Amino acid sequence: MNIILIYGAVLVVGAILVGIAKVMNRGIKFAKFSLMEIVIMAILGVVNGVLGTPNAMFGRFLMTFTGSYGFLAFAAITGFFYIAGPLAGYIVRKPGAATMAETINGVAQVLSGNPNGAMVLGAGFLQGLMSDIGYSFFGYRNWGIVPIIVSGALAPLLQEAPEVYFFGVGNMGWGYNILATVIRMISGALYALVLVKPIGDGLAKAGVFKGTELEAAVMKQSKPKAGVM
Amino acid sequence: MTTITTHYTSTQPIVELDRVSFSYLGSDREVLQNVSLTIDSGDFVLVLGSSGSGKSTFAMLLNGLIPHSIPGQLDGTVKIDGLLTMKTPVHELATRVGMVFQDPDAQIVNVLVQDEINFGMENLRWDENVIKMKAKQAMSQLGIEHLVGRNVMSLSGGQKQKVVLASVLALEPKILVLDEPTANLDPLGTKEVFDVIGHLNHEHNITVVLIENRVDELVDLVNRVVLLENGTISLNGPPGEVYRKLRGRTGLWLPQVTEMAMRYSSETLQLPMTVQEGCDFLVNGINHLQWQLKPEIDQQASILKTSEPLLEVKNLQFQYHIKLPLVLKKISFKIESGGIVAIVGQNGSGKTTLARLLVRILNPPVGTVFLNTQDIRHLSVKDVSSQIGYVFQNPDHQFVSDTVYDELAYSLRIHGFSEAEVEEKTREMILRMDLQGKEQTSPFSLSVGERRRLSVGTMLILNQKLVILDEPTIGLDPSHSHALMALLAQLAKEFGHTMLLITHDMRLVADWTSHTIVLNQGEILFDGETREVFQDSMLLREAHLTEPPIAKVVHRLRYIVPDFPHDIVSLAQLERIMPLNVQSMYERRTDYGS
Amino acid sequence: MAHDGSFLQYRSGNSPLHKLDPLTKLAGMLAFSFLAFGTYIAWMQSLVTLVVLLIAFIFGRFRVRDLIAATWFFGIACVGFIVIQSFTLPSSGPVLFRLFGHSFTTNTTGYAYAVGLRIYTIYLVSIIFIRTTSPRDLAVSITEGLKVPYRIAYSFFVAMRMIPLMQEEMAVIRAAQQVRGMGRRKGIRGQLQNLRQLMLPLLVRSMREAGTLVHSMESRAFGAFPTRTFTDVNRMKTKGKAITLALLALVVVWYVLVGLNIIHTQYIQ
Repeated sequence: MNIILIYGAVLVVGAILVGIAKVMNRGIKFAKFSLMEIVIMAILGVVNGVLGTPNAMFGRFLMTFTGSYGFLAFAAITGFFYIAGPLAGYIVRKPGAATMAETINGVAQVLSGNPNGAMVLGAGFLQGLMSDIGYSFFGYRNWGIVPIIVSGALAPLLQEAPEVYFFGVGNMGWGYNILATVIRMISGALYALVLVKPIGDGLAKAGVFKGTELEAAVMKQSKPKAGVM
Repeated sequence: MTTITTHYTSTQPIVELDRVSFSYLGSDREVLQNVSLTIDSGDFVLVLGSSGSGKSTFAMLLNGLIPHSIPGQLDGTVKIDGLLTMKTPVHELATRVGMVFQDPDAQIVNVLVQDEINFGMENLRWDENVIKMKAKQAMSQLGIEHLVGRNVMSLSGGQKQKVVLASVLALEPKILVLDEPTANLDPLGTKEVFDVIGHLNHEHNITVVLIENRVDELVDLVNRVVLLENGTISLNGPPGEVYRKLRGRTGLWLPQVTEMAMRYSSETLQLPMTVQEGCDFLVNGINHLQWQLKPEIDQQASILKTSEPLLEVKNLQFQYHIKLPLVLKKISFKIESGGIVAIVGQNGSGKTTLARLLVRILNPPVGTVFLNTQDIRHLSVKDVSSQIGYVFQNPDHQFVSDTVYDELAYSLRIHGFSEAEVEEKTREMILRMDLQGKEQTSPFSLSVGERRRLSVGTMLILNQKLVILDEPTIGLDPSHSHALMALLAQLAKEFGHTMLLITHDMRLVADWTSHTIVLNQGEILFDGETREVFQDSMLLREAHLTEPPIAKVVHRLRYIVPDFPHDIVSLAQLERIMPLNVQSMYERRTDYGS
Repeated sequence: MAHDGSFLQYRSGNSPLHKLDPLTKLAGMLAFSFLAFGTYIAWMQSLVTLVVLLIAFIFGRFRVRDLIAATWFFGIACVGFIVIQSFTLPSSGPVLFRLFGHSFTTNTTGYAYAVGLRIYTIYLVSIIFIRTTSPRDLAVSITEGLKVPYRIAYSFFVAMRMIPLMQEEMAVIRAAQQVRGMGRRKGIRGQLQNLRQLMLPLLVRSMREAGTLVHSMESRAFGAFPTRTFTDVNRMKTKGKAITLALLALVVVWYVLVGLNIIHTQYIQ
């Protein structure tokens, strides 16, 4: 059956990426999160979740009225569901931040009545994990625009699998499913590009992340007088 | 005078700061520089300082958040109850120093009242039975036993702060550090909180370090004042001493009574602070001088003008949902063109709802709200916004652009002005709002005062005739708040804008407005001259308002000097009947006061 | 205002479901989601939905009116889904009836009905869970039961608690931007800009509050020890364990039966 093949392919791709990330980051230590960092991740996840639920309802409508094409159209706006991951990674700058923020996003969506129910839990985790892998390719040291885009683009890769089953588009064939995945990845990259850096830097400039690495980095760039509270 | 004894009959220092400097991670700027200070057990210390003076950093130094939770460079030593904070774990400090912050909604962690009170004790892994017992004690100390089982969200601001206090008190701290605990509260809530803090200091001998901008309500409680400026302690001593040294500084934290005395006397001996002392001061002056009061020329006659009102509200009734109670109950009033009008009342009295109906964020029923005799339901939302500006309580909400310049230009561009006009008007507004040099800065990174001025600027740029301001002085220190009000008054006078001011600050109402509307539970209790509000003690009690100290002084004075005008509510009015040139007379005598 | 029913929140109550510990309810939510997931046949899906509804009414003491108010939107979406799918999917099986020149067949219409109802059921299960489980109880039980570090569980709970405030906040921001004369932009580009302009103020405010919150928590020794006391905890008891085991058994049996082709959860094509 097609679905099983798709699952298999996705798993293989995921395993390869995780493997590469692991090899590249040998010796990196997982730093403990401060409470502020945990709360930042939780808030990002929850805000993403709350704003994402209407988005999901919209997607449900799209698919209701346009059938399988709706799945493609919906793919274009799915980038928003992944945003907490790249954003949390960018702000907190520690391994695991994206995973945690997206998992919390998933939980928040379930509790706020996402139409896709408990499935979103797993989806959130997988999205966040892949976003983290995206950053890990750059060793959690490069915080330019490229890692952000990669992080956003990778997010949908694994999460696609359960979705394919849930929406019953597995039997639409390879071409269709690859197209859907590519659209989602572009969407993820686009949302990350437009939202992550402006929002992250904007928040840091507003002085709400006192004592985090992002704020220190942003303050170094901007003129000293902008730093006065 | 009140008790200024504790400081001198020194027991033992409970807080000792020795040459403390601190800068946040990633910043070279020292937020605190070389601060040395000792506080004795049982003291009630008031810490004054403008935003950016380092006062919040100071507070977090006392309970060990710095350096334990907030990374940065800390030099010098901080000792609390004999323990070095740097070497003492946070959980040991938590049972010595209790901390209360400004915004009750932001600092409450739990949903249920008892969960919140148990929170700290649970973190300390106390036994469940001990927790329950201590929670009960803390609640009875604060008189909030009846709140058990309530959802925190359903409480008033004052009640919320008391729950926070109880949560902190359950850990039985020796010191309470409070960082502007009443800034978000209405007058009633403020009074509740100050009463409780005073009680804890007096009856339970808890040392209090209170960071506050309000000084009038605290004159009876405080025995020590510390002024922080640019990260250093510039003044430190008993209140009278500190206030005396503040003479001549603009818009600083003086009790109104003290400020009054300073205007009339250049003597540097004991200054009055409380209402009774202020009353004695005036009595002595009047008796000694045998001085004739000038009859005041009524300058407030403008309210009785018969021209068409700028804004008229007729029988406005509103509820959010058919099943919910009425928020506004058939209210009617008129607002004339020009000047500043105050709308006051407790939280939940319907002020903000009313304001939102006036700008059509909410839709009023047809035939209830008229702007220049035109029903605003017949105007588009865009038309309304070009005629009525609305400055939200939190300026952050209104920003839509990435730079200050674009923020101001935004509405102009929407309304189709040419780029040349946009440039001209924007530049002018930047000057008027004193934001030069910030054109390319992000609105969110401005200081509190700058953000407020920017949000006011965006609401005046289309030359709106009416501007509604919702609590514009919250979060501003006295000098900024004075500057903003002066700016509003000037705009009203020079450009004919009308300002509708929603506020809890009665001193501000008395000082700056001529017309006041008092709302209470959706009804208008009073609509008329501001000075009359403060004559009606029934009204004040019903709406939970407090008169400014000067009004209290004058009311008390009437028992001694019966012909003294009773309706003085601001220092400016007092000066009109008692010109400042009597000051020389005062200087011959110094033995006023009890 | 914003938090009157527009957002799904915990409603306090005294029903057996309210009294049941959160972990058992979590198991229930997952179990019924799995049961619903495995079925593409109309009568089975109907059965699962019926059981869920009965649980809601009998043990959750839901009122019909409240449940309709919470799920009508989804009901309509699902009905739409069923109708459209019936039209668009390839027909198979005996013809049920003809309408607008289209033959509705048992298999296709049945399949569409099952999938539509499944969406509704999964949503319904989530609702029942959220309405009867207090966020704190949930945080406590995933800390004690699932060994999630309490700093994370509690932070999540705190963030959830902020939702009603955030929703009010969002309404205020929208109103404020409306006063500025800002319209909502269309298209993906416009939507992105709208989002950015909504998210930045919302996050600035939330993060400012979060700073205070963190200080308030840490100054009360939050995180000082690896564990903490939890008072008044609704822990899993024998009854909960029995229910969880029964649910687990049910799911396993269900999927085994499906796997062995003893019951069919899909129409044979």
